[in-house]
Amino acid sequence: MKPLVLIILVISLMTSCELVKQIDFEPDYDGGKIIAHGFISQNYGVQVQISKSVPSNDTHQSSYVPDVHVTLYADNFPVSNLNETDSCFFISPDSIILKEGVAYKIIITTKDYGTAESGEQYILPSIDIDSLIYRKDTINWKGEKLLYSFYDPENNANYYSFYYDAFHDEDLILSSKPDDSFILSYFDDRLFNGQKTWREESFYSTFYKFDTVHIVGRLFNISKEFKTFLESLKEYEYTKEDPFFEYTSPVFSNIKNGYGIFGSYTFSEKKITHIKPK
Amino acid sequence: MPKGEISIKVSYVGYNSSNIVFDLQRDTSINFTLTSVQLSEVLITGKSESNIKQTNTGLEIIPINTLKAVPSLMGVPDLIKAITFLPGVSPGRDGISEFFVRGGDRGQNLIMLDGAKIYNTNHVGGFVSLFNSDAIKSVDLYKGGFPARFGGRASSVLDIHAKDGNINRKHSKFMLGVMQSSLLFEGPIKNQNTSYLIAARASYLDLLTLPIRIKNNIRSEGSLAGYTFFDINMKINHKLNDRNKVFANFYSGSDFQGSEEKSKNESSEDHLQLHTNILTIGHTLISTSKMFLKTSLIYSDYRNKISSAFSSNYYLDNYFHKSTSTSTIKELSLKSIFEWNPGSNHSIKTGIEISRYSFLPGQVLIQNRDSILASQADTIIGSAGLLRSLENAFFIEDDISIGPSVSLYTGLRVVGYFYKNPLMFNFEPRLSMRVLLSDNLSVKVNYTRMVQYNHSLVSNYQGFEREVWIAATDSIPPQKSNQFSTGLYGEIPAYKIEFSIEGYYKRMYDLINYQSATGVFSDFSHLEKLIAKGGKGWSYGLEFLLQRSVAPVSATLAYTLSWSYRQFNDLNNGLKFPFRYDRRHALSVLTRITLNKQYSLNSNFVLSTGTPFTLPVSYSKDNSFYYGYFNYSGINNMKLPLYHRLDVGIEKTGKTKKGNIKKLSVNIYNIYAHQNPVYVYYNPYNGKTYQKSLFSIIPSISYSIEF
Repeated sequence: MKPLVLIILVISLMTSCELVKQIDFEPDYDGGKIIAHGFISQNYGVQVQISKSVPSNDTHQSSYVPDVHVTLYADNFPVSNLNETDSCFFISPDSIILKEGVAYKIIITTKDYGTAESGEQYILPSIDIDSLIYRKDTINWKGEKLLYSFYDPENNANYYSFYYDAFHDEDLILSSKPDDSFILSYFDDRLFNGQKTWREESFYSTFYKFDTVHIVGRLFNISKEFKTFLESLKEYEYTKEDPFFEYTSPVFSNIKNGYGIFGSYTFSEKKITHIKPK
Repeated sequence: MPKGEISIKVSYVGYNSSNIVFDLQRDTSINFTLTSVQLSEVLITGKSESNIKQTNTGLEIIPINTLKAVPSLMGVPDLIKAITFLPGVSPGRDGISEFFVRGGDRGQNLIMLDGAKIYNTNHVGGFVSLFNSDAIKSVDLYKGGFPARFGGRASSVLDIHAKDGNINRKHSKFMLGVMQSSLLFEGPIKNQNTSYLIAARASYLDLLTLPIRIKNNIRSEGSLAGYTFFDINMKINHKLNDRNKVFANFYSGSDFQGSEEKSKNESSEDHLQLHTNILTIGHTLISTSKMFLKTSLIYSDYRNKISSAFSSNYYLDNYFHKSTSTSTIKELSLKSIFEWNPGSNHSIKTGIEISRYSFLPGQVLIQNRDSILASQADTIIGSAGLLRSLENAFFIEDDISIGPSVSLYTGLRVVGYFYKNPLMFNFEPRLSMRVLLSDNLSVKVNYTRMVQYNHSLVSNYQGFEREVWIAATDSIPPQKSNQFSTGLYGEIPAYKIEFSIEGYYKRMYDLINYQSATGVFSDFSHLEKLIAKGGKGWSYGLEFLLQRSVAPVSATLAYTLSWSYRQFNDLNNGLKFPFRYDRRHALSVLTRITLNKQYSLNSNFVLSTGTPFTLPVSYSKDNSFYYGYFNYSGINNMKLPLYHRLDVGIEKTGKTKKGNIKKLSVNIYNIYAHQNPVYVYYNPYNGKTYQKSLFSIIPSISYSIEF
């Protein structure tokens, strides 16, 4: 066989792979469903953002929902309407006192997109951070750690998330919280159920530039539904652009007749100050 | 005789006849000389028992010549791809050697090479099947009507037998292809009592990228991907005496796929290795002309290793991280079948099959070195441990003709299964009846129950699927299927056309699937948390087959109308959803036209409904808490556009000056370059829909020579 023929064949094979073209494909559309992303916590009460779903192939369409009301229910009884503070962003009035052991849910009523109802959530107890320690690596000059400990209550599975911020004066100089997102990472208590546990976060910082740095650690106690939502978001991100997965993992929702999440969390906070050694 | 002009015609087998005319006047003696006949080449073909007369439904016997003649991707005859042209057999992804039978999963196919189970059917990437067509003697596919001697899978049996090796003369064949080459040696060893066969294949894509590799090494920067595989089949047969024969068959195949990326201070590597080794030792005892005993001892070993490494090297900061995931299967089996044919219309088979399995579904080794954190760790995480199980089967089957038109098949397979705890018993009845309506027309009905103790799970690694196998445990029960099928089978002798129409209904129970997307480095130590159990499956359909297998024009037309669904409590909110390869309509037409002694034309055309896939039904835009994401109404809620493709090939056969047979094949895959979508996606930024295809038109050429 002439080498030229072989080269042409191989080039044909290579160039014929990975073909992408635009097609006319009419997607299904759910017609616009209510989307609620909301949380209930001891720290901030109830916060909910309402929008509507837009067609998959027209994501620039407005998701604004006019004439929407959000009502908070406690043990299936209406407690209060939430106040709209911004466009479709609702918070609970200051007069509402949230209690542990009560099942809370929200019902969203709209003029054009019907009614949606969330799953029930309970106010979670605050789990205090027992210790928070900043430690510079003594062996190598760059590594740093933030060590924290807490006591895990001895009951059913608990789910946690930990974030830290560091400030010099009032300026934020380091944060573990993702940009433009609420909590994303989490861990469970399978390895330390009912015990005191120590955990650590490693990072590289510019603390050495400042005389004083304030470090704030926040330990979130999150509900199982919230954890499932975060887990599904992670799987969604992992599978969404990979055609070889059988299907993209959908994002978990506990909003009946809609999408989104109504989750519960409570966080505790501990602050330490790091002073540059002389 | 009366006096006068007499004409005598003289003829004899093997000689030209002669006419002699003479005038008879008295008793006369005449001498004749006949010339011998010079015959042209005679092709003797055999045909197995007609499908009309067999008792069981759902059996497809695939002629090896047909298999080799099907034009294929890269010009390599591919058994797995060839059987997807049969009714009721659905191909998987475009260009991949995988098949799905009557709505069953890929892992529900019992694929055997000389009785040894094959767990991985293709080489890395899936484009080339594990089976070297040069080394195959026969292929039988059972889609239903499974004989009781087969068990352990829920949907199909692909029974492949390797060639024994030419007992009469030495024969060699070399094939040179675009992406791979193969060679074959076979022949007698001594006194025509022993024969051998060696067939090997190797790909050399790596050779084509060698210049890039060398360049990369010089620059020490850039990226490189490599891929290679080889496989070898070796078989030896020995006739001890007229009643005893022994054979040994060995198969070994390996794949290496990798990619490397280097920069000044960082490098990353990903590697995938597959190894399959199978050894079968068999003995056949011909006790009398009516009694046979076949015994085989089988060892198979399959290993799958994936590794991903990253290292960086900056001033005082050296970092290295490597994850290695290993999955293995080891099996040791003993199978013995006693066959007794009391009459020409009565056959009884009975026997045992004992299989010892050892599965390592996934063991992840993490190696970490970090100079900054002064850490060093070699940790095994995510291991489910070795899952050991024992499957003991006893089977008996009876195929008998009752009167001139009715035949009845009854079979029973009883399996005792051990996994840690007490024995679990399952009974698998198999029943079939055939009624001959005429010499050329029959009707059949069948019921089959199958139990599958080994489950397969498929995950993804950089676009390549990774299949791991696990044993049924106390909490993961074996999967089961019940299948009813019936059909009409006939032939039109005047046109040498055979046809069949077969319908089936299959229910499947205790199916498993990953609960969600599972990577290869997932934690397998909590295996049960990864798995959605108790799945149900439904599939039903009608299959039509029309074929003419006589030169110069032979053709096969197959059409399937089918439905297949799944339901898991832990998936899709517990709602039923279409199976991934649920193709409502599937049509395939295979043709072979022998133009003359030298040239023949082959083609195959496929047209089928697009496979289901999952597309979102809306989008949740960015909000105060999270980025936007797509919303889904259910699994496999949409169908890909219509799939169609025409492949053509031309074959030129001739002889070299030394009289050796040479063959040149030119194939064109997807001749009209139709872009069949593998998936469809939305671009959320411009709102447009796109499809992605893997293959367009692909020409290939191969040349083989036989000695």
